[in-house]
Amino acid sequence: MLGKLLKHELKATSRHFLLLYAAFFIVTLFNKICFEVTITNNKFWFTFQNIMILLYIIFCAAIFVITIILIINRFYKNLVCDEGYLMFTLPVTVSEHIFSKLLIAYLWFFLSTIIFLFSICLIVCGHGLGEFFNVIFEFIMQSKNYYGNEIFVTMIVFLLVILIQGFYSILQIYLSIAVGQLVNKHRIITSLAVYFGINFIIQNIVCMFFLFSNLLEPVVSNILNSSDWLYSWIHYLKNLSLFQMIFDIIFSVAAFLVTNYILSKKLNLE
Amino acid sequence: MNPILECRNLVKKYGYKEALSNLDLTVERGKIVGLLGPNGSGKTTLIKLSNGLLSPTSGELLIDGKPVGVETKKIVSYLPERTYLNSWMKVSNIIDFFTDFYDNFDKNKAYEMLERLHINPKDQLKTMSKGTKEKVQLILVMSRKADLYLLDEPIGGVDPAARDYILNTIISNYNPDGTILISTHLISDIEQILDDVIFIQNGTIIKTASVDDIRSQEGKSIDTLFREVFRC
Amino acid sequence: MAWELKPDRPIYIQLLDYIKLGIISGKYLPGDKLPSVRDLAEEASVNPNTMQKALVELERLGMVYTQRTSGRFITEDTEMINKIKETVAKEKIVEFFESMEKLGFSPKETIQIIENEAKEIIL
Repeated sequence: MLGKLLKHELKATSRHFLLLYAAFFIVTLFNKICFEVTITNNKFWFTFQNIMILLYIIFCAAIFVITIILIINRFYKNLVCDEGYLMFTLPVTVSEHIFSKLLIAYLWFFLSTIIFLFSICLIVCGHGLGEFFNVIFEFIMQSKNYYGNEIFVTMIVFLLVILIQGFYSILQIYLSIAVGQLVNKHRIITSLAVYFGINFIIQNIVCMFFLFSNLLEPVVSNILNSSDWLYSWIHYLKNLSLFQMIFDIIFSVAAFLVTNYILSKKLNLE
Repeated sequence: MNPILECRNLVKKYGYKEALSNLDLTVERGKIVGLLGPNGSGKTTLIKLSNGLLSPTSGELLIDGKPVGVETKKIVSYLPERTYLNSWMKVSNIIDFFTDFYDNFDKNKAYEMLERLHINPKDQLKTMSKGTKEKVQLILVMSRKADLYLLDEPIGGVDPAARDYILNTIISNYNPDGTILISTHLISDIEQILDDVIFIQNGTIIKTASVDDIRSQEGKSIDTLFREVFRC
Repeated sequence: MAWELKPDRPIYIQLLDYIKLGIISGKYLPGDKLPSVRDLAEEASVNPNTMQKALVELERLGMVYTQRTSGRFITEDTEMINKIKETVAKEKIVEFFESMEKLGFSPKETIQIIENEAKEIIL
């Protein structure tokens, strides 16, 4: 059943996202052309180019904002509005519903990121992109020579944190929507309040954790006192990322379970 | 065979308000049953509890002897009062959807019924009138070979010709192993297709009987009896 | 087209009467095959269970019989049909006289009116 839900979810959401990506692609191309064409001593063109760059930056932000809005809208409209009457009477468990939406939403989030990066590369191509990658590569190789494979581990952990953070972000949205549907009026405002409330609580938890777990102190003094500043820094980042990852996993699981409980036992469609 | 629907001491509260109070009910298989009561009597609550959209506060509700869950949802076909389909979808998409998720969905039957109504499967739902959308939903629901059909106000807000069509569809798709539970307050239109009636008020069952028994014992139609029993 | 059914009498009895009337009046001829329960129910816009009840009762009265593989048939006993026809006719006449009495006409007066009317019709 999960497979069928995934298939249906993909079909239902691809229309919007592919449209978004197509639009972004056109904007990127247009900007690339603007960027490449130089008309010397033409103030108008210069101003126009700058405006285009500004718009491009706004579009880059927009692609993420729109992605999130589409993800929110899909969950809300399909499960908590009238379509919920069909969805929740299908012979499918609530966790399958949440999971299918989560996976497909993540896919789009991931794709949006890839397309964004690709777009940046395209724009910057031929203007130092190659050098940029070279510098990064050199840095990594240097680190490896001095510190061994720690740099790779750090990079991998860092990447993992970003990936897992993606899951958590979506689940926090779903949880907020689920809590929002518990009330009869002002559902959207309730969801927003819950979302920011959770943010606040989590930030405090993480803060408290670091304050009281002596994780910061020795590290900071280590970095300041150590002869090898860079190594300590890499090491610190790696540990920080590991803890962040653990937190994200715990919060993700918690968000999933609570959302599952609410939509199973406290479903309040109207 | 066991009854298709059983409720024992079923209670459903919304906050402090009791929508269903210690409700006991048994519905046998192979019948067309009317769930009749004034607005706010608990009809929709009972139906939502049967299809899994709500969970009981306490007490038991069994479908085919099992508590409500994935297994019971396979054999329950639900028609809500509202449109629950995505208006962007084409009718053919929706049929594929139902075919995917329900093993007992008869695709050919659905297409047949749509054709008889001259509904083009390639049409998007949003291009259809309210009445046509409701007919599409009814066709989808009745094209499943379910053990329990839950129809919540199927003829409310619909013109008389459509009403006849709906009642005829219910009769002609009736399968002797399946029970059809119709919740409505438009009784006179629906009386003659009912086997039994359940009168519900303030979250409790106040009477269950067969239509023929009521007519022969009381010499009245169900509609008349309803007006007497639920007099304001 | 749905059969005309009154709301205050049990449906199956009304269905029974309707079919009985059909048999007497020759709409359903002796030996004719009846449509299936489902088809009849659809025609009458009633629950197939109720139609079944009516048919079972008709069978009990001997007006229809079931041949296991082929379905239900109208009885070929024309004598019985005629007897029932007479009984129904008598019921209608008694009803008529009762209605006329409610209007204030005695049976004798009623017969007089009928004779007068009949003369006019024949002419």
